[in-house]
Amino acid sequence: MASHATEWSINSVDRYFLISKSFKNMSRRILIVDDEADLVEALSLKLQGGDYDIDTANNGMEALEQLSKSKADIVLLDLIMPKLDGFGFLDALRKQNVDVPVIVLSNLGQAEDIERAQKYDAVKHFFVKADTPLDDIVKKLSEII
Amino acid sequence: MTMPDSLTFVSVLAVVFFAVAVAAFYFAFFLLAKYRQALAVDREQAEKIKDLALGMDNAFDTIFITDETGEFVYVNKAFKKNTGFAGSEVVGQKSESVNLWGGMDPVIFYEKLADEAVENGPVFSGIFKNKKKNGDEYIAETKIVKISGSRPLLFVAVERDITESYELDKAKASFVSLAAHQLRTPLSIIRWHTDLLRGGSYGEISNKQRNVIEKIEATNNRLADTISLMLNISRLEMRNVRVKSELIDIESFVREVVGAYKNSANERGIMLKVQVNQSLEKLATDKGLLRLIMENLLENAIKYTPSKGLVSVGVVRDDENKCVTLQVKDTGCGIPDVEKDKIFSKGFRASNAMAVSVNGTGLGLYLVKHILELLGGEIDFYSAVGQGTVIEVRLPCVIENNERAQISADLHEH
Repeated sequence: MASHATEWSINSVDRYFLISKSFKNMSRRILIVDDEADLVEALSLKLQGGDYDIDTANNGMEALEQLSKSKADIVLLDLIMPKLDGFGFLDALRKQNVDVPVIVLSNLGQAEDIERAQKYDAVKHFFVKADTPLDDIVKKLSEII
Repeated sequence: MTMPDSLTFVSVLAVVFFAVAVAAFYFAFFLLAKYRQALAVDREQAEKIKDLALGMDNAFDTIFITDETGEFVYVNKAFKKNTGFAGSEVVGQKSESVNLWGGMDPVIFYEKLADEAVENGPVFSGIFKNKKKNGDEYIAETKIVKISGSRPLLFVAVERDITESYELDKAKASFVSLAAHQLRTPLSIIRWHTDLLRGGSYGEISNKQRNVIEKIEATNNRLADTISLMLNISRLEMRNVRVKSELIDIESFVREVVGAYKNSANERGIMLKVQVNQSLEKLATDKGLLRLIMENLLENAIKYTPSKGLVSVGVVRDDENKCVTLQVKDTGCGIPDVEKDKIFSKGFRASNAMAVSVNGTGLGLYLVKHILELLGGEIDFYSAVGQGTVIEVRLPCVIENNERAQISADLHEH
């Protein structure tokens, strides 16, 4: 009885491992880059409901390091950040030929900020955070990846 | 031949000779007078030209003259002072030479210059980033006049170094932009967390709690809208708005903008209609700015119209004046006669409007009027208290892009 139970539990661990591995293949990796911890927290919480793996970075520098360790399917990018800002990060992506779609989530919202960001091929969309419900971000994200 | 005959002949000859001599004398005198007169005019003109040259030579602004091919034929003293290049270094050279003054973005600058100056009339003005001989960059406001009557064709340019005021404008604009960013950040934290709270991400909520959360959300959104509005106003006041003309299908554009207000009108029991009774050609205007105008007019109309009222938006083409009229008509509280002259002033709210809704910045129509100035449009209104208001906006069918703002935006990137 005990051996049976052990056998079953090994099987279940195996199965869990297999399932989670196949989920890993299916699930998409999102990198959130923002220096506002409260915003990262809200976004992560919202996205946890979907089938996503979430990485976070506090600034452009950290985001580049993160990307060199593990690839992301999409980057949610703030623009004004310490150390390396969003534009600097986009420049680095372009220089290193890293091909990853980016959704800009910024509280800059002037026509020239938007146009400047959209000059990068990687940038697929620009949201002004204060004007955007989380649902809109999730919807746009699922359209892209 | 008899004596008297020959006498007559001689006397006739003498008279003729005398007459010719007198005529010749007068003619010579006339020529001399003309010659002296011409000399005087030449001298006068020479004096005038000398005075003009003296004025140009000693002007505070940089003045230079080029021929049709862009070759410098004259530069004044200020040219050397302001650019570092001596006249002898530039006269005879092409103005677009990259080794010379300017040369920061010569292709765009000089192609535009030629197009504008030759095809679109005699005057061209713009703001350019130039380089001095020592490599220092400066911002120059340049006006160029084509001297059409001159042979060969000449262009006179007057250039003023506006680096200081330009930098100040830039600093002001980036301060406003950053301030808006800083104000929006806490708002987005509130927005996203209340969003999660309402969605149950932090646990079940009661209906009462949901009501409170919705109130917080609505207030937060109002604050976000106000910040955007104030940001737009300060940029307009600083003339830091880029006008970007594009061809738009005005009917579908108006239907789209009005469509976004369907829910809020429904909620308030107001009927919202679009009326277009003719086919409309495409309009070259700035979509973003026109949207701001429409949004502000619609928000006002819906806000101040009571339940069961009507808000209708009409579009009429005016071929004679080459413009399109947008009409936003409501059956709202109207504007009191004594306050009609103040409705476009900053911060003004009509006394009866404040009774209808305490929320309002008094900035909407002020913004609309300022935007219309940029677009070359006009605004007019008719209103009767208790009956409603009609606001009419006339937009020219074609507007020009403003290069100053274009360049200012480009400069922001460097």
